[in-house]
Amino acid sequence: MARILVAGAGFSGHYAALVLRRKLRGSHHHITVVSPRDTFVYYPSLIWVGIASMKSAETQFPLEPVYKRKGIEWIQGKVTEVFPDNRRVMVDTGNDQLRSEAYDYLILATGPKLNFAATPGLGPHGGHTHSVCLPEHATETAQHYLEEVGRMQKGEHRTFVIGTGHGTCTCQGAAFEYIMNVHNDLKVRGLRDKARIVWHSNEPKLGDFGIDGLEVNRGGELFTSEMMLQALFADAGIEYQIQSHIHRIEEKTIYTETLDGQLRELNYDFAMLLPPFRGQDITFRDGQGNALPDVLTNPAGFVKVDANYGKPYAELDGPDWPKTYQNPVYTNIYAVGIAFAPPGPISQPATSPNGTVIAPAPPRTGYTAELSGKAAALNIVDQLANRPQSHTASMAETPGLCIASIRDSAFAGSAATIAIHPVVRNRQKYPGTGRDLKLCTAEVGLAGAWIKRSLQYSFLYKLQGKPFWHLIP
Amino acid sequence: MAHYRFSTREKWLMGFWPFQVWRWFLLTLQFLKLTKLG
Repeated sequence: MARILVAGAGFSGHYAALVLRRKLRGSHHHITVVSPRDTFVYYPSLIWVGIASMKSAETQFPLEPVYKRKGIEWIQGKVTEVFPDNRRVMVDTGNDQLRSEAYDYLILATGPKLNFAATPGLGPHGGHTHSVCLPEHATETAQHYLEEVGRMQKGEHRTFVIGTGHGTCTCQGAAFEYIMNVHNDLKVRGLRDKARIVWHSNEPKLGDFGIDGLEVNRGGELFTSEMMLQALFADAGIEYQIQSHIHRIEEKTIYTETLDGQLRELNYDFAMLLPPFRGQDITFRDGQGNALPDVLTNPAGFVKVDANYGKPYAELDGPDWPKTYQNPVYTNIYAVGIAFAPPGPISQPATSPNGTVIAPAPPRTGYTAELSGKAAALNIVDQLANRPQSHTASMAETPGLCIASIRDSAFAGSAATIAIHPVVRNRQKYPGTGRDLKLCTAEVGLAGAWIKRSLQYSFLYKLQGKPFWHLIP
Repeated sequence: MAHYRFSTREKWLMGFWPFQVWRWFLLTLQFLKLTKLG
């Protein structure tokens, strides 16, 4: 009997646990999930919670009943230490209670640590800005947003700054959804003329989204995500400042630096700025209890897997990206979702004349995270059967599917539907753009709003392990 | 570079129901096709 421990119950970890249980049904293998939250959160819908158009509870379901039904052990807690030589983890179950758990195989799907501390004044905990990264943040953001709405209803003019809060942020797509939903919500309320809305981002160009943008072939002409955002922002009257880092944030002022080295101040009344990500605070220790600094993690705390690390951006290509998500030193450890260390950025990194790094980190959508979790789970099944690992899910070989909401409404909604293959440009396989343009899509319309809603329902159905869940892609 | 703007026809099609139902159908098919590559 093997003990498989999954740390984290987000898209990648939770899905990996469900796949493992299904593939190992009828066996005596024991599956344990450790997660600090007792619910699964469908993060893509938190942008709607942040404008008070959806309740936080609609984006979540409790994990325990699902795991009980599936025969998966669940521990509420946080993995704080890993002893790979002893095959053991320490779990903080709250109130300083530490619990030791043994494993034969470990999947680290611990997601990101929201690094608000990277920018002084950033974030809802002691800072001046808001976030939609967690359900609690999004709920609080909605309250502050409604207060601003109240002020505008009394005739006041307000400035909204939305985007990224540091030069190395990722997930620009989520901030883009939030800014478009704020714009449309204010328009519906008849208050748009009282709001100045500004997009602040570290992207090298509009529509980059941390994936180096995208191009599609539209009737023989190249249409890019940059053109799409130019048109959307122009129609919505949204100003923008891109290629920009934030040094610090005060109560009414954001101190920025752009790529050309200019220091600029942005005044604001309401700011929703995403933090950069770090790996979770997990210490890896050898058999004697000494910290293993570089064997398992990179300097940002993300776990190393089967990628080619150390190459400069110009030399990085598709084959350098991880395929099996297995740690090369400890082959019974996998890291998936946001927990794995990418070999480098997907977007062009840059440095200002003052030495400030402005380099978007690689984002991972729920679908991409699920694929990595599934590959890790199936490779563990292979290892248990003494077969060579046969499952891969490289971001340079798998598609990216993203629906960026613009307005949530069944009749008057809109969304940008984005499909790319592969996510990471793979110039070895697709010379030229590095992507298969026949499979790439970027379009705006009501159909996207329907797909965005249907994805929420299908993901939540599938991840609750309801009948025939495994048939849903 | 001049900024791209959506044409009046494009904007009209973005909200035109029959066209959007057709796009929904095609986009869903494309998503399903892409997930086979995942």
